Amino acid sequence: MKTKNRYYKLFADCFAVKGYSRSVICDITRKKFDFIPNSLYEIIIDEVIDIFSYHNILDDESTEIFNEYIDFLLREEYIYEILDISEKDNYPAIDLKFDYPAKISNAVIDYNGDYDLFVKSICQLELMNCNFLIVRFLIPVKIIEIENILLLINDSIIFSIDIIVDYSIDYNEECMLEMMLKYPRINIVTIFSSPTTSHNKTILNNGMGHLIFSQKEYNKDEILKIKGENNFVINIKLFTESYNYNNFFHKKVFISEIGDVKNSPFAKIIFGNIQNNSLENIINHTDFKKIWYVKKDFIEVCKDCEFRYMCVDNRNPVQKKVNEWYFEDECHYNPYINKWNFDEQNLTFPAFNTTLL
Amino acid sequence: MILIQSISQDYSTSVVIQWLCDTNEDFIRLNNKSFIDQITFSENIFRIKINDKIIDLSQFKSYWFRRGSFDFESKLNQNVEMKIPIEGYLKGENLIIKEAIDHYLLKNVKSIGNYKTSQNNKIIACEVAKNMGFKIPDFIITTEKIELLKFYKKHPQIISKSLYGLPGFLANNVDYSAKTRIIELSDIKDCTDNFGVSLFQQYVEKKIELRVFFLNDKFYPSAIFSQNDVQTKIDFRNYNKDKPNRVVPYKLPDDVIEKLKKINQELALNTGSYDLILTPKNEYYFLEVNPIGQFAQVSLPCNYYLEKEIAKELSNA
Repeated sequence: MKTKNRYYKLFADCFAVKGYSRSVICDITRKKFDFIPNSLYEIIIDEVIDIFSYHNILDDESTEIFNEYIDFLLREEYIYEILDISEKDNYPAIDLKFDYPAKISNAVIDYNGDYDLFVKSICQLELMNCNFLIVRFLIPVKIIEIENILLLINDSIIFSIDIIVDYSIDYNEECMLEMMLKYPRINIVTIFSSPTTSHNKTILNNGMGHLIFSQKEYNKDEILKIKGENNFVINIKLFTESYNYNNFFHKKVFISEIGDVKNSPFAKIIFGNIQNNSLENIINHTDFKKIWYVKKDFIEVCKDCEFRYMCVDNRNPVQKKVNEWYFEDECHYNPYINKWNFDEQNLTFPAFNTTLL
Repeated sequence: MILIQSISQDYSTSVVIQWLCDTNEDFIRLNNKSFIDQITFSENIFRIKINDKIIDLSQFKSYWFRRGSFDFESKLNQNVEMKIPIEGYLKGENLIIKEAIDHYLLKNVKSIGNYKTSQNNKIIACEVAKNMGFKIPDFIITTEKIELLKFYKKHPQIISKSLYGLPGFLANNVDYSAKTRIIELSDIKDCTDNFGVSLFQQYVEKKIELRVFFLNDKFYPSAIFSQNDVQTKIDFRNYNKDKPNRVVPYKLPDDVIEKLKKINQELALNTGSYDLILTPKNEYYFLEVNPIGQFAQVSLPCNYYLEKEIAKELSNA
C-alpha cells in the first residue's frame, strides 16, 4: 500500500543554529534549546521537509533514524504538518531585524562620590534615551547616598537600575528591601563582601526588585566569562541583536568615576570625557561604534559556536582583518569538541548575571 | 506636537513614546486620570490647559486615540453634599466635550483611532463582516432556556462568550472570569428557564487562530497555534505559561485582506486588531474586531515593531 506523502515545516519561532560539530534548535517562544546533529540541521532548514524525497534516497537503516528525528521534532513541537505544499508560503519567516528606540540603551557608571558629575552623566544619558543603568559604587556609601542617586532616576527615562556596592554595617535586608519598594525602578542590588550570602525579592510583581548579599569580593576589572549553559538567554530581542550586532557592545556605554567614556568597563580606549564634551559627540566618533558591528559571526571560534545568538560575552574582540576578529582570552566553551573546560556542577551562577556584568 | 490619549498602565503606549523620544518628537500623553484644568472652546478658539501647559488644539499635528478618556468632572465635583446628585449630570456634560474634542481632532488632525469608534459592538461587526463575504459563527442572544436548547440541537458544539469586553472579577471568593467556554447539555439542564442576556455561538473547529493588527490598511497578521494544547484549545487566553502557544507571522490571502479593508471602511476604523479563525478546511471565519485591542502579543513574537510603525505615522504628519 502506498502511503501519502507528508510535508513538515519548522515553526518560525524556532531557529536552527549550526555550530562546527553540532547544532541547536533555539526555541524563542518557549525559551529553551535542544541539541541536534548537523545532519538534522541540513534537513530542517529546508523550506518544506518533504518526507518522500528523503525516503527515496535513504537506505532502510537511515530511514529509521530519519523517522526518529521527525518523531522527536513533532514531539517537541518544533515542526508542524502542512497539508498542501503551497501552504508553506502562508507562514513567512520572522524578519531578523533589530532596532531599539535609543542612541544608547544601556550604561554603566562608576561612582566615587562626585555627585555633580553623576548628575551630568544622567542628563547626558537622558538625551540618549538610555533605559538601563548599572551604577557601581567604588567607595563605601550610606543608604541615603544611594537614595540620592535613585531620586535622580525616579522621573527619568531610565526605567531599570542595577546597583553594585560593597557591604556597609548599616545595610540589612529589611532596610534595603524598604528602599527598593520606594524606588520600583531598582532591578538588582548586589552587595559584595557581605558577612552572609542571600537572595531576596521585593513583593513588586514586575520581575525586578532582586536583593543579593554576596560574600564574594567584587573585582571591577574582572571579565566574567560565560560559565555554562544556564548563562544563555533565549529571547527574540537578544537573538536578533546578536544576529546583527555585538550584543555586549551595541548601544552600550561606560562612564568612569572621572567622566571618561569607553565602550565597556573593560575596554582600553577612552573616547572622550563628559566634563568637556557631550556624550552624543563622543559616541558619534566612528571608532566608538565600530565594535557595535562586530557580531559573533565575525569573531573566530564564536562563529563556529552553536550558542552564538544566545550568549552575551563581555570580552574585548581584537581585529585581524575586515570582518575578522578574535579574542586573546579563550572561552570556557570549546565548540569544536563541545566541551566546557571545567566541571559545570561546581558553579552556582545565577542566570541574570549575564547582563552587562 | 502629538496628542496621545491612553491609560496609565498601557505598556504599548510607553513603547510608542520611547520611539517618539528617540526622534525628539514633542508629545502630550493624557491618561484616564489626566485632569484638564482649563478649557475654552468656541467657533475659533479651542484651547485646553493640562499639566500647567496651555495648548491650542490646532497646534497638534497628529492624534493617537489608544484607549481611555480624560477627565473634566472629578475636580469640579468636590462639594460633598452635591457629589452624588450632580454626578450623572457632570458625566453627561463631560461626554459632550470629549466627543467635541475627538470630533475636532478627527476632522483637523491626522488621527490614529478615535474615541467615537473605539466602542466595539461584536454583533454589528459580525453583520458587517458577513455582508463583506466572511463566514461568521452562527449565534444567538437569548434569555430563554428553550431557545438555548433549540440552538444547542442545531450544532455539534456551542460556546458562550461575553458580549462586551473580557469580564473578570472576584465575588464571595469565586473567580468569575468569563472567558469563552463550551456549553454542554448538563450546563443547560442546570439553567433556570430564564437567565441574564447571554451570547451563544456555534463552535467553529480551528486549525489556527489569527490575530491581525492593522494600521491604515496595512495588515500585520499573526498565527496562534492553540489547538495542540487542551488548555488553550477553546480560548487561547487560558495561557499555558510553561508551554506557551507558538505565535508566528502569517500571510493572509489577498481576497481576505480586501474584505478586511472593506470592513475598516464600513466601521470607519484605521487601527485595531481582527480576530479570525482558519478552519481545518481552510475557511476564514470572522470573530471580532477590537479597535483598542492589545497588540504587543503580535508585535513582539513576529518582530513586527508595530510601536515604531505607529510612532512613524504620528511623526510624519
